[in-house]
Amino acid sequence: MKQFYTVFKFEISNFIKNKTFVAATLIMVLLVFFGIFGFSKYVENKEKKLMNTDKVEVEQTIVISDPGNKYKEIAETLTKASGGAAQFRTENLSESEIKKQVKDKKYDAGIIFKDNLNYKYIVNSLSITDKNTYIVDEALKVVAQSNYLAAKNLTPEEIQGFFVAKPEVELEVLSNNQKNTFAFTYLMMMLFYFMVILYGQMVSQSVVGEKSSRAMELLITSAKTENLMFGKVFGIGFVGFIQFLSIIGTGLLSIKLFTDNIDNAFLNSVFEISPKALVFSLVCFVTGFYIFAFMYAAVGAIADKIEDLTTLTYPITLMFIAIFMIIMSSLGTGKPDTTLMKVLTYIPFSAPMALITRISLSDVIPAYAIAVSLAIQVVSILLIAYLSSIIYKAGVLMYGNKPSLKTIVNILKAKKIKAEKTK
Amino acid sequence: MQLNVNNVTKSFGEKEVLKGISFEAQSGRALGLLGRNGAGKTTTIRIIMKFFHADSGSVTIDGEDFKKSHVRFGYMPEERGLYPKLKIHDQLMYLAELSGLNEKQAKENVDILLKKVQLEQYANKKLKVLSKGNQQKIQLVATLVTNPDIIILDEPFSGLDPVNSILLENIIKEEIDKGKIVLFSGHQLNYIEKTCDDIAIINDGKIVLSGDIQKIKYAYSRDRIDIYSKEYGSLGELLANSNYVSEFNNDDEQFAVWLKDPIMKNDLFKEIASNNIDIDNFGIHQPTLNEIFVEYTKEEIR
Repeated sequence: MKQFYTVFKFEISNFIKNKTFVAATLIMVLLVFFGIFGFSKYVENKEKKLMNTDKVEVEQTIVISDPGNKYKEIAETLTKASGGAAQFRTENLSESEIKKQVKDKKYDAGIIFKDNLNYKYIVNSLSITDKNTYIVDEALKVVAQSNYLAAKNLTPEEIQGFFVAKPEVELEVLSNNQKNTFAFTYLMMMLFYFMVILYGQMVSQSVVGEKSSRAMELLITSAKTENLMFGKVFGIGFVGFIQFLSIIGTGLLSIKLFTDNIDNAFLNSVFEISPKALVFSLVCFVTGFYIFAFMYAAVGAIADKIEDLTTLTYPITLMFIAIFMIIMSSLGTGKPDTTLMKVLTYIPFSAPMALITRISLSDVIPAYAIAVSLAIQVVSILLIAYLSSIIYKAGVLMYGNKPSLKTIVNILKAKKIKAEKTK
Repeated sequence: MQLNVNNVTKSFGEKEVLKGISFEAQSGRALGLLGRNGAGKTTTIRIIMKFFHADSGSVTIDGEDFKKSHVRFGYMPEERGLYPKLKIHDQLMYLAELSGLNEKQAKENVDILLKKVQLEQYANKKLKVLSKGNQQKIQLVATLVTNPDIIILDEPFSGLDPVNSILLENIIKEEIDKGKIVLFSGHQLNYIEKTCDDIAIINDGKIVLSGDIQKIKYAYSRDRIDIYSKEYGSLGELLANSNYVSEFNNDDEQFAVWLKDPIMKNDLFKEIASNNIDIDNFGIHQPTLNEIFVEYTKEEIR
């Protein structure tokens, strides 16, 4: 235990004494703090501008082809319907002229009306957030409906009454409100991704660094390889958690300090997460990291130099990214309880991410499923750590050759004989 | 304390590296473990230090098997190993504490040893700023800082200037005098000859020679006589016709003469004296360790 602690302390102190690491952490903390502060000021200013309708910032200018000079009113209606964010104006331009001017970025888009309900929308690059066709559709629909009702001899007041009717909904959520938990889940998943990729790689780099500098030859003179590996993995993991917590903590504090007055669903939802989801997510964060970190340690022991690491860590990284993307896609669709996700909850490499997602977004994950998944993760860590320590022991003194399966089996046999002798 | 290596064998895959080696090392005496490249020295060292297990045979201390955790080893590998970008003091403290010393003991050892190697002013510098020779001295400090019972040094003098070599030699002699078991491994035979009391030569996975250096030298080639004479012409003629000489060669005044029987050395001396040939030196050849080493490993020369 003392040796483990000595290694653990040493690994942590290496980071603390590393000016680059400390500076990078400080810079990230400050970026988060001032970034959120800046964002809050930006949103505040924008809201102030919105309240003063004369000073609405026009984001887009859309030209309507109007050779007959009959769409001016529609243009004004559409501008109002966009809340002033888009300005619709009419010009005596043909289709080809509109295309040229849109391409030349004189206008953001162009519209050519074919009749009261049909039109052509021309845009250079269609953004995923483009709402202009929706605005035009709604406006044309209202006009068409008004004309239809007017043809039925209804009075203007009766027509207005038709459009004013608006349903009201009373919302009662019995368990998870995905709109509130999405932000947290997304944040946890992204942090987990960076934690594993960055710090997992650091573990393997640290191991191969000691091997290539031959410091390993001295270390194993004095210490058990298991203590060297475990101390390193837990030490680097601890540093990673502290760094991430400091950045997250700064982010949460900044959100609380600067965005209280901002009505932003995403920001507000960060604090809506339930204690259960928070606790289990943090547990899975830790277990998930260590499942991969021990594998990275074993790979570091196999490599001879840092240049070899990219190739050797590739299978682990690829597997991790593939699992990550599958789970993120289920997060994106808002369906955390598909059969695939249920299966992934019980596979060691995917269980942590699957559980984080399901606990936060799902309302049907039973308690036994959580318990079994966590048990699988813990057992997996123990097993992977054990196998990794064997590979580490075999690999740390090998240069030029990789430890064969036979070597690993021999070490296991030797351990068994030793254990039997001790009994 | 006595370290015994008993009939140890070790193979890596199909390759048989050690074929049943045996030797012993005693506290208060230094053993030189010699062998050509690839003979099995490093494998032997790693088995002694329990980095891995022998396929058969045993390594014992005072006749008993031992656990790695019960014996402190100090190892100076041939390829130097420390952290180039860490401060010297920090990494020496780490190594000392890793071996079980508490912080106070570790600090004491580090400070004393840095002073001994005359590098105390570099304690808070990174290793990489030191010259190769000074890094070598730090490596020795790293070996001794754990206060080891058994010290294994692989090419400890390589890269050192003559002054620092003497410094290191004296430090190692101090450790020997303290009753530690010291094993040298390497090819700088002049230093091993100066510092070691015993040797064991490994060739092709076997021990081909082991024992006290002086006794080995005494027993080696007792039939060879070294003669120095300015009258090399006359002496050469005499030796060519002598009944006591099986062969000889000379480099002007310096003669190497092989007797048919070591007993005949006095007869040869009388024969030379009776022929009034003036000689400046006549004596049994004192072999260097280098000569003994080459003699016992030369079968491998291709």
